[in-house]
This record gives sequence, C-alpha cells and structure tokens, in this order.
Amino acid sequence: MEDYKYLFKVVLVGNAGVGKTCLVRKFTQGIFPPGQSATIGVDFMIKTVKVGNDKIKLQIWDTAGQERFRSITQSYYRSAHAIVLVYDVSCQPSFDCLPEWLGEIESYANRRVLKILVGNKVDKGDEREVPERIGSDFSDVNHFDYFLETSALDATNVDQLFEQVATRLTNDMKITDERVHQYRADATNTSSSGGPIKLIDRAQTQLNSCCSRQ
Amino acid sequence: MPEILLHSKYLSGVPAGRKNGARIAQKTEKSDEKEEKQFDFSRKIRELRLELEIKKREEERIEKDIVIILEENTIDGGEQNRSFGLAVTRLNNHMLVVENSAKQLTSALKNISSLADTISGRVSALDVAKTRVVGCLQLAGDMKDLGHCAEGIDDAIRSEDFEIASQHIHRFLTLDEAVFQIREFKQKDATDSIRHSYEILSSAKDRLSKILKSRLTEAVQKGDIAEMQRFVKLFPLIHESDEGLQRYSVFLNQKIDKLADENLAVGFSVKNSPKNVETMRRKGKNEKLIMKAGGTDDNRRNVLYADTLFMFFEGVAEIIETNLPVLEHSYGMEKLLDFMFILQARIDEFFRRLLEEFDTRRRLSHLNRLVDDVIHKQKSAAPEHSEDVPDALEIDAIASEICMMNSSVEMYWRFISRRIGKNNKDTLGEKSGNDEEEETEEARLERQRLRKEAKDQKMDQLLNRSRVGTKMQELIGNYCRLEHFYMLKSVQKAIKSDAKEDVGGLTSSLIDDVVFIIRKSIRRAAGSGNVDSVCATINNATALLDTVIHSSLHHNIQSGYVTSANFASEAFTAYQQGKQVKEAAESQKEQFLLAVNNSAKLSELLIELQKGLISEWSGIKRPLVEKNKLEHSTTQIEESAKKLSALAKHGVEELFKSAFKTKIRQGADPYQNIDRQMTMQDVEYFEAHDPFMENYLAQIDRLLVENEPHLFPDNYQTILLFTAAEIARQIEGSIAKCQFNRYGALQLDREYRQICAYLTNVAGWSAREKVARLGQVCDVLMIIVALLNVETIEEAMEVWHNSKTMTTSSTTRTLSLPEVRKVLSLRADFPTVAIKSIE
Repeated sequence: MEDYKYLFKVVLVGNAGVGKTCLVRKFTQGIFPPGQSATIGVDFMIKTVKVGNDKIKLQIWDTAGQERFRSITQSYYRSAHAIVLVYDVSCQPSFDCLPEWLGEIESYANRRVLKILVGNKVDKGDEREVPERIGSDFSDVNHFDYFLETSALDATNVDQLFEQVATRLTNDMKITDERVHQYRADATNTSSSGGPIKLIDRAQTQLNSCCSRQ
Repeated sequence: MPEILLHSKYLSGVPAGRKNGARIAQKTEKSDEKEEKQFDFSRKIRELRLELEIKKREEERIEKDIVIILEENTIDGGEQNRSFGLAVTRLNNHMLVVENSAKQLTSALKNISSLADTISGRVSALDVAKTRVVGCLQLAGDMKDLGHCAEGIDDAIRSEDFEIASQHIHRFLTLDEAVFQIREFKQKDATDSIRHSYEILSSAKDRLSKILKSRLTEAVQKGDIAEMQRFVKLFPLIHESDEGLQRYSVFLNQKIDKLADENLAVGFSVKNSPKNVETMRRKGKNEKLIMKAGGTDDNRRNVLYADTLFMFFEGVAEIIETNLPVLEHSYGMEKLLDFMFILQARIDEFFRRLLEEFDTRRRLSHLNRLVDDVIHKQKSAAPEHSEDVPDALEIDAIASEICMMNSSVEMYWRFISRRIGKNNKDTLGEKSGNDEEEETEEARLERQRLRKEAKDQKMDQLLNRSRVGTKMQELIGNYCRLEHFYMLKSVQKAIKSDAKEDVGGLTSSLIDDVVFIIRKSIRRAAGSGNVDSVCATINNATALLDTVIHSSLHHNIQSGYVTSANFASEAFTAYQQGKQVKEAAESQKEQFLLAVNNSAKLSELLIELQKGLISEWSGIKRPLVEKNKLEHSTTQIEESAKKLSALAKHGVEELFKSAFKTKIRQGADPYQNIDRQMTMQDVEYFEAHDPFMENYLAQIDRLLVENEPHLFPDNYQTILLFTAAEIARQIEGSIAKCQFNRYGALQLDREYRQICAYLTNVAGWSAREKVARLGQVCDVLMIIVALLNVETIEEAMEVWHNSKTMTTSSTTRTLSLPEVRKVLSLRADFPTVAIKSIE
C-alpha cells in the first residue's frame, strides 16, 4: 500500500464557511455533506492519485477557518508543499480577506510553496458576488501558481483542482530530483576519481593548488 | 394390311374366353354377324338365371340358419332383457328420489344459510354489545377510579400526601381520553358524579400543580434536598416535566453557582493554604473577597486556575452524579439532555468568570500579544531585546496550566458523555458533541454525518457553541502560541548558554537541552488531550529545529575547521579582531567539532524521541483521524533529524578536507617512486621490509587516532569512509604514474590487501559491511589492482567483464574500455599493440 512515489502535504486555508471541508470531502470521499458544521482545529485526509504512471500520496490538512484556531493552523504552513487558499464567490467578505491570508502565507510558509487560489460555490449562479475575472486578476497580481473556480456541490473542478496540485508538485519534484541527480553525477565525476584518464590532470591541478596555497 | 385385319378381328363381339364361340366364329369366319350376337345373349341369360336361383336358395338357407340361431339365442336373452328393463326402471325411480333429495337439500341449505346469517348477525351484534359492555365496564371502572381519585385527591392534598395525589392525577390524566368521551355525552346524559369528579380532578390537578410548584420552589429556596427530590419526581406524573426540570435546575444551578463561587473564592484563597483546598472550599462564599486579595508563594499557585476548574468540574460531576438517577428514573433519557442544556448555561457562566480572572491575573491576552510580536519578529529576523518580552518560565507555567485546564474540561465532557450516553447510543453521540475536544468532536461529526438527523445536528451546533467549548478552543489556540514561544525562548537560551558538559564530552549541553525542551513541550501538549495542539507543537518544534537550531549549528560548521594549512589566514583575522591567535583558532576548532558532533547526536536523539513518542501514544485509544494526524506529524521529527544528519555529514566533509585530505595526499607521494619493474627477489625482500605501505598506513592511523576522541561515532564512521575513498584515490593516482611487470603487480596486490585489512580493522566493520562499504569507496582501485594482476591480456579481459557484471549497485563505477586500455598499458610487459587491439 505504501508504494507511492511522492508524498505531498496540501494545506487548505480560507475564511470560515467557504467550503474547504466540502471540497476535501467531495474529493476524498465523493460526498457532499450537507449542513457540514464548522471544522474544529484541523481535519486530516489522505488520498492517493495517479500522475502519469506515478502514485502520488496527497496528505490533506483541512484547517478550521475560525479565528480561534489560527495559531494551530499557522503551524501547518511551513511544512506544506501546496497551500490552497479558498474563498466563496458568493461572499464578497471572504474574498476581501484574501490579502490577510496571503500575508499569513508569506510570513509562515516556505517561499517555494505552490500557491493555489480557489473560488468555491460557483453553483450559486445568481448569488455570485465575485466575478471570475476579479478572482483570476487577483491570482495573477499576487503570483498564485494556479486559479480555479469550483463547486463542491456539483463537483465542478474539484478533481481538477487536486489533480493540478498533484501534477504540478510532481513535476516540480521531478525537476528537483533531476537536478540533484545531475549534481550528484557531477560531484562524482569531479570529486571521486574520474577514472585513470583524468588522474594525471587532476593530480596536476591539486599540485598547483597546493603550491599556490603555500 | 394385316394390322387392320387383325384389329378388326379383335374388334369383333366375340367375348374373350369364350372358346367355343371363338372357335365357332373362327370356323364361320364368313358367316353373318347378326346371327352370332343373338346366340350369345340367350346363353348368358340362362346362365344368370341359374346363378340367381342358386343365390336365392342360399339366402333361404341362411335365413333359416339365422332364425334357428335367433331362436336358440332368445331362450335366455329374453330374460336378460327383462332384468335390464327392470334395472332401468329402478334406476329411474332412484333418480327421482335423488332429484327430490337434492331439491330438499337445496332448500335445507338455503334455510341453513339464512339461519347462519342471522346467527352471525347476532354474534356480531353480541360482539359489539360485548365491546360496549367492556367499554362500559372500563368506563365504569374509570369512573369509579375517577370517583375514587376525586374522593381521595382532596384528602391526599389536604394531608399533603402528594405522592398519592400525583398518582391520582396521573391516573386522571391517563384517563383523559375516556373522560373526554364522557364529557361528550355528558351534555345529554349528564352523570352528576362523573362531572363532579372531573371537575374536582381538573381543579385538583391545577391545585396540585400549583402546590407542587410552590413546594418545589420552596424546597429549592430552603435547599431541602429530600423535599426537592420528592417533588421533582412528581412532575412527570402530572405531565409537567418541563416545569419540574426548570425548577429543579434552578436548584442545581444554584448549587453550581455556589460551587462556582466557592471554587473561585478558594481558587484565590488557595494561595494561603495549598493542602486544604477541600476545607477551604466548604467555608464558602463570604471568604471570597478576603481570599481574593491574599497570596503568598506556594507550589500550587501556578496551577491555581486549573485546580479551580478541576475542583469545579469535580463538584459539578458530583452534583450530576447524585441527582441524575432521580431524573433518569422519572423523566427518561431525552429529558436529561434538555436538563444538561439548562445546566450548561450556568457552567458556561462559571467558566466565563474563571477565564476572566485567569486572563487578568495571568495577563494572558497581554502575554499573548507580546508572544505574538516575538514570534513574528523572529520571522522577520529582528532581534528582540525589549524589556517587555515575557519570561519563558512564566509562559511555561501558564502553558502547563492551560493544558491542565483543558484536560479537566475534557475529563468532564467524558464524564457527561459516559453518564448521559450510558444507556442510549444516540444521546451518547449528541452528548459527546458537547465535547470541544477534537477527538470526540470528530468522532461525533462522523457519526452525525451518518445519522444525518437534523435535530441532532442542531443540538450539536448548540453544544459546540457552548462557551466552555469555544473558549477552551480559543485557550488551546493561545496555548499553542505560548508553547511555541516557550520553545523558541528556551532554545535560544540553550544556544546562548551552550556549554560543554565535561572535558571528555563530544557534545554540549545544547542538544540535551533542545531535546529536553521539545520533548517536554510535546508531552505537555499531549497531556492536554487535544491532538491538534500536539500536532501544532510538533510543527512548531520541527520549525525551530530546521531554522534556529539548524542555522546555529550550520553557522559554526561554516566557519570552518582550523588546521595548520589554513592557520595563517585564520590567525590574521584573529589578530585583526584583537584576539589571541592561538586561542581563537583553538576555540573555533572546538566550536566546529562541537557543532558537527552535536548535529549527529541531535539527529540520533530526535529519531529516538520520535520512536519514544510513537510507542508512548500507541497505547492510547483514539479515532483513526487523530491517529493519522499524530503519525504524520511525528514523521516531521524524522525529517528534521535527517536534515541534521546531512548537516553533520557536510561538517565531517569540511573537517576531512582541511585536516585529512592534504596529509593523505602528501603521504602518498613517495608511493609512485617505488620501482614496479620488480624481480622475484624484490618481492620477497619487500615482504620482510615493506617499502611504503606500513609507514603510510601508520601515518593515517595517527591521523585517525588523533581525531577519533573528538568525533561522535557516526561522524567517525563518516570520516573513515572519506579517508578510505581518499586513500583509494591517491593510490590510483600513483599507480597511473608507474610501470608494472608481473612482480610489481603482485606487490601492488599485496599492498591493496594491506589497505583493506587496515581499513576493516580500524573501522570495526563486520564482514558484510566491509564488502559493501569498501565496494563503495575502493571499487575502482579494486578493479585496477585486479586488472594489473593478470598473466595475459585475455585474462584481463575476463576480469574486466566480470567486474562489469559484478557491479550491479548504482554506486559502484566500472571502467570504460579506454580506461581499461590505459590501465593495461601500465603493465610494461604487455605489448602495446595487443592492448590497443582489445575490444
């Protein structure tokens, strides 16, 4: 069961009641829990997804939006690989709070964390208060890696959201892996003997460096 | 024309088979045709007549035979006919009888059915009558009861026998429906006594209810528990449970309030006499004001509020424990929940007061603000030297206190859910919803989702929002922040006051302090019973490890290891800074070694800590989600440990570069000067008088021995690996500069074995480890030595191919074809052309 290639920590944040728990439940369990009560502390889910041929394990930390849990949720930022910031398209105040959340992300999270902005509840057609344009502009201006509008109710873009998270993280990780590999290869080529052919050359350079130091 | 003749001849009227005629006709071929025909007919008729005659006679004879046969047969046939005729007649008669009987039967059946109809009609009528009679009897009984009740109730009320009175009313109320029926026809057929009883009872009920209420209120006011319990039991009987609960809860609320007051008072008085909390509590309210002011040092002072809360919840639990059975018995389970709701309001109120006190006395919000500032500033890397910075010890105490408070709240919730949910699974779910502790909270959410009962959810929401719940969540939030601050400050202090414990020690107080602090904080968080706070603390702890501690160690390692080689430049900087050169170098050297060893040891200790925590928590029952949370949080400790271990390795590499590498290289220099074009005698001579290797290895050994005491075992292993790799590299380099013959190669092989034996010996590797590790570092050297120790080029090829198949591990490197050529060309006795031609 544990034969996954990578494990990523995904942290969901955003105001209370924007539908973070519903998004996670929809994705992990395929259900939309009506009348979901406010999350207490942090909820935790695991789901394995496939990116190409690789099994990717997503560790999803679904944080409570309420202020009184802030100090608990803050502690999760630093180790997160991806932070999904959620607002409610039918609730302007939840959008207005985004800069505040962004500030938290910037002060606590890793600099290279994958930042994703999600406008949830697009199913509330007429009640929409934040146009998609505004959301995507905000995302661009604040250097989010990805912007998406979703609905946990009718499953719009829910799977896409997490697939994107997994795919992007996997690709990033693969690039890093390659670099490390490359670096290692370089290191072995230069430091450990590059074979007899280069021995004399290297001895020469070493000799030179020794001389110059003395 | 013979054919025609023949034809006409056959067409003649001569009948076939009449031979005579034909003969005659043949004879009289030319006679007249007419004559011939007439003759023929008469003859035939004659014959026919004859035949007819014969047939007639035969018929007569047969008729006679028939008659005879008939006559013979009719002798007994007549009789048969007669009996048959008789039988038929009899049958006919019978049939008539049957027909008659059938007709009779029909009429009889008709008769019976009509009779049955009437009977069943009567039976049903009787049934109706019977039910009515039963009803009447019931009614009569009811009326009698009613009368009895009516008679008895006044007496009962008068004689204050309220139990009996309530029983009467209860009876009356359960009769209510029947009574209503009576009232219906009472209009027309009014029975005075019934109407009388009804009126009496109605009024009696009102009276009794009033009396009970006033009595209960009175009892509540007087605090007469026996009376209260007596009256409170009666309310369900008069169908006024809510009233009863209401009134009773007033009493219990008073009790809770009193308890609250006492506890708050004691809470502040306890400073004077720590051991006598119980007695102080009993002294009660009026001491409150005096007690509040007082305060001297004592060991329970730091956990005053937690103690108070604990005592309070103990008290509440006691109250519930003593009173619930009464209610449970007479009110049932559903009402208990409502009752708990009523009580919850008072508990909330107490909690609010306690927290207010807590906040002002412990300056919680003030501290919280400061702590927040510090944590934020630490992020922005601005050093904090303000006087306002709270003392870590103070924070430590408050953190402990909050944890204790949380654990007492949790204990109380557990008690409630156990008590209320004991007999009722549904209520267990609802009640545990009251629990703000995440562990039951989430289990509750899970169950609730499954049940999807709107009512439960509503109730749950209400409970969830009870002040105790939300306030405690808030408090736990504060706690996490304080704990973070405490760890940060303690770690900073540990770094500042870092000291090597004893002269021989490899590591310093820092790592023990750090591990102690982290362990303490995590354990404390675990003690609160709140899993989220544990996770948050682990998160914060690993954050500290990865940032503050890591960078502190990294800083010391980056500043480098001083050796004579780079001593000059170091000395210069030290001189510039006005320090004693030697001293500065020594202290930096020490710092460096300390950091390297600390990293390694800390990494080891953290792994230990992680394992310890896991085994510590494995015994505790928790919901799956909670378990997963903890499990994944603890892996972070391991990650931090790995980072530190990498740091240690990096440090060791630095050490190796400055202290070992040059010496190993310089030591290897004379090696290439040995003439490798040897004779047998040379080899034998070298066996006794080692030309180089013994000395070289002794040199390295001195180096290692010198450093071993200063290095943590892990680090020493690392440096051994580096050393081995470097020796291999140097020997390779020297080999490349020599020319070998067979004997020279033999000597080389011997030397290679010496190296291997030495490394294995010095490192104390086990056989398996030796193969793996030496393979890692000396793989190329091994192949080179093997390649040089061959008789022919073909054998060399074999060795090479074997080495290629052998090296399956990704870490080991194999030689390429040009490299092999290069190596083989070192054998002076191999023809160059042959070497060039190998593929």
